[in-house]
Amino acid sequence: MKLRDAAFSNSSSEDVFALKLQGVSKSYGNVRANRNINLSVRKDEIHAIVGENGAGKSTLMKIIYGTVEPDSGRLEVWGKPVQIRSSLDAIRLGIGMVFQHFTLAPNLTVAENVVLGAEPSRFGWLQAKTIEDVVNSLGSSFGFHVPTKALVRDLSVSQQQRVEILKTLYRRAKLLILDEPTAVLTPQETESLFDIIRKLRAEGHTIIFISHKLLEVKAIADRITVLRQGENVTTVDAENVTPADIANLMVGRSVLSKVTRSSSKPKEKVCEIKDLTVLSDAKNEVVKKISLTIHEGEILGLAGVEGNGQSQLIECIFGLRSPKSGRILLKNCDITSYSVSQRRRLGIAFIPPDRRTSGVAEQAKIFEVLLADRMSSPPFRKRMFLDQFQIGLKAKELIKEFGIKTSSPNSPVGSLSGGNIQKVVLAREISSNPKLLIAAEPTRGVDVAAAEFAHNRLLDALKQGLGILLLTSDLDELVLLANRIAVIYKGQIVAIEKNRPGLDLKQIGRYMMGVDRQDASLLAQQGFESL
Amino acid sequence: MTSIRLKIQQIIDNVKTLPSNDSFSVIVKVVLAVLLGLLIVYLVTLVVSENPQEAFKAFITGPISQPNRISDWITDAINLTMLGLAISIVFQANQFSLGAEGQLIFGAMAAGAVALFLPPFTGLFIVGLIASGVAGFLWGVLPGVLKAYLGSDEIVSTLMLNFIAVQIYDFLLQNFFMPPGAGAILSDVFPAQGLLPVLGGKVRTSAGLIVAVLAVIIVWAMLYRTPYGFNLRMSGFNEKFAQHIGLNVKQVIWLSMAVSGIFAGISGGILAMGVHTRLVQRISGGMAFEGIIVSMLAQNNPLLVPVAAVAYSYLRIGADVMERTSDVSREIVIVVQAIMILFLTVQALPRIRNLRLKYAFGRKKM
Repeated sequence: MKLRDAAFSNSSSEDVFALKLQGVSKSYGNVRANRNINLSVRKDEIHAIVGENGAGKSTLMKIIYGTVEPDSGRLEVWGKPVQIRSSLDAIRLGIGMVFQHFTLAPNLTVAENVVLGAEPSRFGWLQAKTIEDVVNSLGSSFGFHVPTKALVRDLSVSQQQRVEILKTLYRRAKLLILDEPTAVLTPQETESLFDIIRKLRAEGHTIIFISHKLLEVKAIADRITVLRQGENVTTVDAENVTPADIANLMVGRSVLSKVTRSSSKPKEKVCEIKDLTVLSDAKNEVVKKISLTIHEGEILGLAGVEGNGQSQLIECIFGLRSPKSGRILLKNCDITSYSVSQRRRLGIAFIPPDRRTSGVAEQAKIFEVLLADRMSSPPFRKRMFLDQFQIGLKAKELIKEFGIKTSSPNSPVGSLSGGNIQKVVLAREISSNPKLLIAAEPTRGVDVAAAEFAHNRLLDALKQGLGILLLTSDLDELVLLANRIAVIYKGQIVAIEKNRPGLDLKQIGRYMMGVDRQDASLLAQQGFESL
Repeated sequence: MTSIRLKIQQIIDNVKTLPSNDSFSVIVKVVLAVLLGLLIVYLVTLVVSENPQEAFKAFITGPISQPNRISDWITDAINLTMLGLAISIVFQANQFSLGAEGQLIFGAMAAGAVALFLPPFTGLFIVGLIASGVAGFLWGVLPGVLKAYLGSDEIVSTLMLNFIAVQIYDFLLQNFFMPPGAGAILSDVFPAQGLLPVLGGKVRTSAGLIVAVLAVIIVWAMLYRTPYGFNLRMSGFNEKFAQHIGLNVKQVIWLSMAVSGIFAGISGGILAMGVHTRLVQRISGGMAFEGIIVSMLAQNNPLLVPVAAVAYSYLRIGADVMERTSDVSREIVIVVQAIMILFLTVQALPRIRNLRLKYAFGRKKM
């Protein structure tokens, strides 16, 4: 405590940095996660840290938060050299961290979560009233309100995030680290998070903001530090750079910031979904009478805040979940009661949202996973045996075609990086020559270059005349790729918009939040109208 | 030309990575475990025996000291190989089965029925082996279907079905197989055509040896070279993934348990037609559970199962000889066997310890 008070009393002087790293390095075995990193975060600034996956962002944050000890280098907090050995040290120094995956207890109230681990008590007894008051006043002093008595499990994601922020503030953090805070938010929610962040800065807090999304970084940050392959490339003032500049710095070469969307006219209907109602595992109607049509050569984007029935909807289209009512037609053939393998044979492919758990088996070998869906049919099956020769040939071809970086097709899939695992899934699903491709979060958690690769692959595939149903929580991606955007809210399609230049993203956001919805007749017209 | 080169490359790639990632290190681990086990055995005999050197010598050299003991060793290894193969199939499907015991008993019973009730003809024993495989398969279908379609716990159901199998076996033995007026609960000795042909001279074993060698090759080819085995392994790796690529996971589950039963069943046939030459009470002697240890030792790799079976049966026979020829009592032999099992399975320890460290590390550091 003494150290901290001393630090704060010093902090008025101008040239004091909230955090200064000099020559910090960290290796895991042969992998050098951080190499000689220098980072200076000024007091009262919003400092963004950007970099591709594997650039060393998370290791760096773990060093600052004390969960990882650096091999070498110096850390200064509030101008004093320090050693941070645990997160307790970090908290004592006034550093707070909001992880991407929240660490809240779902069955406790908001107030209880905020004080958990540092409860105000009298003679060892908790005092619910005091706790609520403390948390309330804390929230209102930073201009945001949270329902202190509500259980955390009943809150929306953005509210839970606020609880996480309150937790750090309650522990008197002056330096907040936010790890990909906007990944799960709608545009409106992101805006209000930014308001909170700006308010925090005005109150004398320093914020480190980690993100992939360059537009947001540009919008919120004062300064931006770019990491690449474990080294810090540069730190720039946000005012002086464009998102394209940042992307180039991150990748180390210039990237196409735009992919070319095909303008070919969608033709036949590929897939029709008619009045589909689907139950969740808990037997609730999470998809209510949805009707959608996907055409040849078209990407239909599905926008929605997570948990509005979209995952059940795509599972049902793919055959992993049977519908309560309604019909699914593929090329005018009713496939509602077909199994997954029957649907695959008829031409449905699926890039699942959680690739590591559903898209691959990590212990299996790369060639096995690449061709897993067609091992039982020729040319890979010769009578009752597998044709190892054909399998090896095709696997090598796919590895080359999709640029999967591996030493051998016999390596286990788990040895690949996230981006390469995603390429394995893409290669399998696209090379199965589907008529309908369901792509769920095709670029979640992969770096800029891999995302660009995936986008181009999807658009290439489109030229062969298949239809794509794209589900993504990244609105930028949706606008980049989709021909039409359908918005799902509480299991219903509330709007379908043609994607055109100048599309109002705010309006899409309002649909996603359920604030607004399209007129039913307009919706029906949009849904069935052939472009 | 290119296609020939590719073919050669293909063969080299295949040889480089035979089924398990590193068969050599597995063997090293097994040998280490055995040596450590022997050390503990020695310490135990030091404490309990008047003549520890003698007792220990009996244990170490027992299995190879006399031709008939070598024969016992080989025969034991054959059965352990069959049972280990059976278990490796279910384990690769990521299921758990304690049902090999019951499948073995049904296999023995089917072999007995064929040998005793069919008119003797040349090759009768082959019909008996097939019948024992079918019986094991059917006794595996039951828990498999219960698990896949009704969601029953396979550990409980397979274990319970063992008791049922024992009771049915005893009932049939006493009421149908046992000749009237016999003094012991035994069937008649099978006719010569219903017995496995004997191989070898002084050191001898039955044609079960050939069956076991074939079974190793068949199980390996099935798991690694057929679509069925591919589906089974993928489903074992990751059930969700298996569903996504369109596999019928439920079918894989029940079939894995049933196919496993074929090999446990044939093991029962070998016991009846090659070892006991008749049906006896408690024909398995609890041996089926040793198949689990053998399979674990071999890391569920069918090509390593016979290696593990030979090593493990050596210890089993050694302990047996020690009990018969020294003052080390039966209880101590059981203790010794338990220690062996501990040491043989302890080779999984480094992995478990790493997991625990990871867990503790993650917990502490969060």
